[in-house]
Amino acid sequence: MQRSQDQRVNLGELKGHIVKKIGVERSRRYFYYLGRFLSQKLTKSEFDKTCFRLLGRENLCLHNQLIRSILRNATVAKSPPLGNACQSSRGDGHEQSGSLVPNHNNNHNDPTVWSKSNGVLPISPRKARSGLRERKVRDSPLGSSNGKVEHLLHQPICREDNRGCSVGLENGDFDHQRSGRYAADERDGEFLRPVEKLRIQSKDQVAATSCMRDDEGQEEQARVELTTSPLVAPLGISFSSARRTVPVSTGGDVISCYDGGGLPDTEMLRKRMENIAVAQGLLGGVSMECANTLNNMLDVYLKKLIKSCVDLVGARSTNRDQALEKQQSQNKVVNGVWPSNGLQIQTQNGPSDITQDQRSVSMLDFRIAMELNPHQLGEDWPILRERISMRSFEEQDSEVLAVIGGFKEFRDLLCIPEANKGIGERREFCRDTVLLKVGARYNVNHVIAAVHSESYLLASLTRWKTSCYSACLTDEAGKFFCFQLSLNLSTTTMAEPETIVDQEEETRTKSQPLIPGLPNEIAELCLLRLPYPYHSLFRSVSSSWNRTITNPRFLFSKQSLSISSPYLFVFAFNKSTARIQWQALDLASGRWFVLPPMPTSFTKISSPHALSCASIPRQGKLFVLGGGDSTRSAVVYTALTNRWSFAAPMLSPRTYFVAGNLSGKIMAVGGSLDGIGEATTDVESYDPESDTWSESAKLPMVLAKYDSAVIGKEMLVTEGWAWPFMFPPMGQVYDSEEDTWREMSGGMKEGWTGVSVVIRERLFVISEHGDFPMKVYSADDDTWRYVNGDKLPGKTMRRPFAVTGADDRVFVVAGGLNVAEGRVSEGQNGEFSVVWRIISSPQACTQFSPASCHVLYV
Amino acid sequence: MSKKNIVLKSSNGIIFEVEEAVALQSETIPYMIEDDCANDTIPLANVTGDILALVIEYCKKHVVVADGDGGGSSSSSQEDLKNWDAQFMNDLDQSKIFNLLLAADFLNIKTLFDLTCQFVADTMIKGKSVEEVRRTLNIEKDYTSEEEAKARQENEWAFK
Repeated sequence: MQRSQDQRVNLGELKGHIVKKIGVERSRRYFYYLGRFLSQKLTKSEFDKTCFRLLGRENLCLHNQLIRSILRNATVAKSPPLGNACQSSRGDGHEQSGSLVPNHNNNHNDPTVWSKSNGVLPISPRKARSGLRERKVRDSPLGSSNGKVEHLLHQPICREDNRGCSVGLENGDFDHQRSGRYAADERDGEFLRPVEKLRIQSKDQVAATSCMRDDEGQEEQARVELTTSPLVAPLGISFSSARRTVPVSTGGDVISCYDGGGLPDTEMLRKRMENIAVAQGLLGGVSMECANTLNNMLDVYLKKLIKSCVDLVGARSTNRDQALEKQQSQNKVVNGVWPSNGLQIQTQNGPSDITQDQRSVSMLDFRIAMELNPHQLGEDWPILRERISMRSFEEQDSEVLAVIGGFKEFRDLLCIPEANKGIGERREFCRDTVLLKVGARYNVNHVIAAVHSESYLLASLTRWKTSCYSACLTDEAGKFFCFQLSLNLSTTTMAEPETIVDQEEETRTKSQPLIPGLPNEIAELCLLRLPYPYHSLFRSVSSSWNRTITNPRFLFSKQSLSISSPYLFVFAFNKSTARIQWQALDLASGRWFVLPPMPTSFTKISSPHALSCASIPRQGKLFVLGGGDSTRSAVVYTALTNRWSFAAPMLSPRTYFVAGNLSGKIMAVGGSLDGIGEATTDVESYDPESDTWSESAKLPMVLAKYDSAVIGKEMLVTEGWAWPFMFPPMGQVYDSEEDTWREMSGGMKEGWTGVSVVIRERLFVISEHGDFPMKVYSADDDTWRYVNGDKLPGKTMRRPFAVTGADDRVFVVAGGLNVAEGRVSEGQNGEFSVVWRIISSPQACTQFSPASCHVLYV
Repeated sequence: MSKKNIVLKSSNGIIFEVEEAVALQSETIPYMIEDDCANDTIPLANVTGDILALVIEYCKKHVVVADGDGGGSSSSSQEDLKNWDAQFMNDLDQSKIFNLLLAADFLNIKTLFDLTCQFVADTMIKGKSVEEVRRTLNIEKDYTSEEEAKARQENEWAFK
């Protein structure tokens, strides 16, 4: 693949071609989205969708060509761009892909090349698989220089692919059917793909993952070796490649595990290692023995992991009762069904009792097996275990235990009769949460069985503490429901529902004072003085405290007494797992608190940028709009109760829009309509008092999501500058009193180059470029001026930024959730200056990037 | 206007004579003066002598500062007052604090009441574990352990 001639492709011409083909407006949007994608603000699947919409199927080749050309230019980047670039690119592009990827569509060359066989429009499970696998291989940044080796590696995999498919046809079929329905999961997978992955790791990973399955000949030998202990993660599986091997990450990996029929040939492995070594500057080469050792170690390591799963399945199948038999049979189907979780190890070679009926090992089994003995994962087991658990979405530090199948409606579940044993009393918490208490003799498997006998799809069961689970159910339409399970395994009898009610009434009647020695009114005033979020913690002091604190009046009193202080609430996502999390920073103490997870339809969203947030600071309320469920497209967090609850859904549920608090009403502007993905100009506003949405004047044009600000009665919306900066940004201004839109002034939109914040009714931006200067907009001459004072400390503050303000303070939250507080002051001459100070960076949040932040007074 | 003294009598019969300005930090006392239509002793049936002494100490301090502050002088005196308040509260034991709180409520001295409430929240509740709070405030645990576990599990995430 090494090219001798350094020929650059003329990108300008290609771009011009695209503009010509699809028109100025569309190309402007296309380049915008491409820029967003390249700066990791869009996920692959979102980008694919947009591309498909904007370009149309017939023009996809243009896109592919552009991407290839960019990559090509990058590979020959040792020479500077030539003024009159060579035109030979097209032929080259084809030739290139042809030689790289034999027997496959030639548009898998890189992650951004849109192809029919990626997750969005799967044609057949096999195609999808090979597509994913190839993309993964292509992802490797060394790909272009190592094409030959990969090519060699590829062929055996392809052969294995066929075999694998015939063995697991049942799975494959389901894979196909479901892949559309659970597109969200695939999106997840896409999002997971760490772009900045180290080169070596991704190479290793190919080697490692393609050998998950092993051929029978080696089985016996391995079993002997398995008895040796302790097991150390083999040399050469670097931490992160091992992590990728363990099926926590992308669909692509899983596919490879499935397809790869054995360990790589030692000679090939050696060559690969040598290539890597050379790339890393180790010129000594790699000995055969070295490769051999790696291969053997991998073999043992993986077999041990697989064996523990197989053993677990074996043990379970002998223990289970009838109900579970049923589940088992479902399980078999379902394991295949769940593309994102399917480490589909066909265990035809497993121990005795399994061999007979070809049980498959599910992701659940794998997780449980790893939970039972995490040490077998090797030296990095705590992290690996966490990665396995984190594969799923909603709750923090959770351990997902189950992914099982089922159907029907959630309502029925609430009516699971006692006869079903296992699930006894149930109680409503809030609108979407139900507590199920489970009797003593039953364990989590019984719950699953009971749920199954009622025909539900239990999407995930997440363990919080030893005896507490939260579960997600889906109905046939794929809607998610959430409930919590409290497994009381320590007591021997199951409390009757009536008894519990009695107890509650009893405590209510003989309830003790809040604080003995003080009248309740006074004691309550003392409790009001507790800062956020201590209230919720102290609910467990006594039942009277709980009642007092959860009473809406408590909240009201605290606000009316204005005993509140500012907290910085940050909406962030984990860069590698896409996990979404809200946290709050106590600006006085520098302490962080994690908020409870949002309802599932929000945490399951493919990208945090699909959601929009707004706040009512003085009421301590956060609004998150969007979400995967159009009937629940708005959720509100109330700081004083520390809870999420649903608000009335938007009139036209949407994603990728901007939101803001305009005079106490929450605005939702533009975006893409749910489901269709079509850009909309709809605008609506939410009145928190009446919990209703009403329509406002439509945007005069479609605006891509970038940034917005509210100043006084106006909301300013801009779509910002976007690569390749061919078109000036668009911007509109909404006047809430007139209910009209007007075009943003030229100077304002031209200079709006970052995330905005409004202080003293003036519009500031923290520029995303250069050393992140702060600018202030001056309406008099329609220009931006730099703010005096320090620059944002660039060392600790890395993009992306989320920015908000309170009084004269501006808060910038950066990657890793580093927070800088800037004090803004206005000089005599009307010039602004700012003084920065770094507040804190929570250790646990290095992987998190902010999407939005708000100051609430709580 | 000449300085007028007001005589207060605690529940256990102890007499305090204070300047009117000091006494009038209480929003209750003016009503009692009017009600009584008399300038002699105002009986405070709900406040014992030791607590009333504390209240008066507090009011004296604050009335002095308020006077000295008349010219809108420095924030340092505000700072001093804060420190004084903190010291004042710190010297008290729990039962005194509760009684002070009750007295401040009865006499309707807003700043003292707020100060004491905040003190209770900060020192007796915040930063303590649930058990410690129960012990400190002598609260009986009326949850079943199961319910408690539940309430706790719902919240513990925040304090990792």
